[in-house]
Amino acid sequence: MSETILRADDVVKQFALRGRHRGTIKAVDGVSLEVKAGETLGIVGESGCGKSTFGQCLTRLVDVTSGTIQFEGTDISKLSRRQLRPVRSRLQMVFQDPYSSLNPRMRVGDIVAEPMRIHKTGDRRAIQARVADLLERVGFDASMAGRFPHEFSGGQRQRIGIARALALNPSVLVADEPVSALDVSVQAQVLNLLADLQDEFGLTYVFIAHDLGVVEHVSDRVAVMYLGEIVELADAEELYASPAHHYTAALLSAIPQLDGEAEPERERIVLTGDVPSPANKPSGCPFHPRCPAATEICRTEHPVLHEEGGRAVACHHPLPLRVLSSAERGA
Amino acid sequence: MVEVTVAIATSERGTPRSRRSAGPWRVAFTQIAHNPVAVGSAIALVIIVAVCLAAPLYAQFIAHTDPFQSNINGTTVIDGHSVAVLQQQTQGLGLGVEPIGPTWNISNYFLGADSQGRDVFARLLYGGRTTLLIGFSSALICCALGALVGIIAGYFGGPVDWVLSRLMDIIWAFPVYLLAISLSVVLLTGGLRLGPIVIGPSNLLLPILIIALIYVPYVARPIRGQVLSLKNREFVKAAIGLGASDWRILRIEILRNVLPTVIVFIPLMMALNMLTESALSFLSIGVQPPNASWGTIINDGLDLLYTRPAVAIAPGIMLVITAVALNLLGDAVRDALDPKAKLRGAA
Repeated sequence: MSETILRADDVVKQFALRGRHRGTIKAVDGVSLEVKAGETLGIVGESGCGKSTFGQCLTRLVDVTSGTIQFEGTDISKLSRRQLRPVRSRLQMVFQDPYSSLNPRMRVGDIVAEPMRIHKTGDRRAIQARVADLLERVGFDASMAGRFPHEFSGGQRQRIGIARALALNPSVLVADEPVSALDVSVQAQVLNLLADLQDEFGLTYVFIAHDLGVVEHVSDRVAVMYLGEIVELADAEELYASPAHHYTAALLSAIPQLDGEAEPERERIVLTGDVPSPANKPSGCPFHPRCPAATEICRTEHPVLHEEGGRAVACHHPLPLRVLSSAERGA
Repeated sequence: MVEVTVAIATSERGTPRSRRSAGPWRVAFTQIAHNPVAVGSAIALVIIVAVCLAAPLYAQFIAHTDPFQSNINGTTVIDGHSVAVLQQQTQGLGLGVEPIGPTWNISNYFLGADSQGRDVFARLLYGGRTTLLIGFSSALICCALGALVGIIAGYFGGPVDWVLSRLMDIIWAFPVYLLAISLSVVLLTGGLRLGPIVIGPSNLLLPILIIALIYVPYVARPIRGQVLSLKNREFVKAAIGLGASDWRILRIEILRNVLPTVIVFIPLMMALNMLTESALSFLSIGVQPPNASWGTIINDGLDLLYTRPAVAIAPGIMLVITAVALNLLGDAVRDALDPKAKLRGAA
């Protein structure tokens, strides 16, 4: 695929803990990845693995402790709020909770117009016309602009949030669990809308989710995060067909399968123990206390993410890769 | 006006007439208008305010009296007889004087006279003007100040929040009346001098400011809490992500969501502030002569409580009616603007 549009280098986000448990939490611990123009990069992981925080770092909703984020060639990790303004219009975010992401005291038309008013992109008439366009693009009648968010369902609200994110013609959308708060039937609707918009406007997505099934459906490449680090990054098809990291394998085995599905039956891998607190990370490989293949080296030496043939994995004992048959590749 | 322009704009594009939903303010207003208790309270309040505002007209054209002028040797005509307003007391110990009681004649000492021969009813209306003015304006100042402090503390957090919250704690650390009494005693003896601004001891601004100040934490605290929770809502993050300025976020995302709470506070604070004013005036450290307020009239009536109870009871009844009406109206406003508050109360 084409050139890199968004690139994170060794991004670290620390939170200071106050009170009895004084210290710091590294929610994001040295994440590096590239997002190529026009692709969808999925980021998956359990709750608390830092994927949402990383998404907020990418869009600079939070300050980055260290590391750099290059967006369209410029480092945005240290820009001030004022300097970020022009970047904001090209790099937008879709939020998780549609009930919290729309101001209940604003009409839908004003919510969608807000980005254009902030960036003063045109006069009232032009903005009004653009709002009507955007609402129609996400499947509403333009007359809905006069309504309030509480008059809409969760899926409809999420579409309003998408219209708002699109208002300034961004090149990259970071979607933080955009469908996890929605009913399954509505999820498909929103996912299809996102896919249509990607084709139409050539958008690049960073798609954060904890549901591997959803990510498989939309992503070109998938990054798996565990305790603030990327443990595996690969093409979606390859990752799903043949995970290299034991954590990825365990996650994949947890996807419910239907009887008679064409895929080979997966063995259920049940992880023992809980996710350790990021305030108290295990030494060596962060996954070793729960890993079925852990050995002495895993307890002492931190594995680095190394790339090989387009796949990257951070593991001392990666699972053997299964070569995809051409039939599977085409699927 | 706005509705009209929108309708024209959409019809130009050939879409059907805009289906513009009623805004939350209109919905709340409609709900209040359909609440008989709220409407009754509002009507009672309007009547009380109107009658009190008409006090000078009453004094001049109906009662022909000056409610601020002693009338110790005056006489008045009752049932065709000329009667002294203050009569020498003959019963009991035979000490002191006894003012004439209620005549129930609207143009002539309707509620009788006080110990200085002044028309109690006229003074009641004038006192109402003062009490209502102080109660209402101090409530407005208090709510505005409380909202400002709460929003700034909650939104900016950090050291700003720390300083403002400690200030509120200091005010809150004193019992309300103790603080009010201390401030009043100090300020009413010397007046207030802030550089070029000099407020005399008998200026009504003094009690207004004192009462507004002591209740600021009551408004600021809940507002601060609300802003703290709003700040974590995703629509505020979305506004940050869109590059909105702090000022814009405060104005559009925060203030619009906090305003209903502030408005809910206004009638309740009016009742509270009015009662506080009366209490201070009763203790002679609120409104200063020659001004009258319901509190000072109750104080005037204290000496006459056994012979002429109407002097103290009439302003007391007015206070109760006004405070109850304000509270009922305030409850209705709260139910209309903040439906969750009722659920929280029931839980």
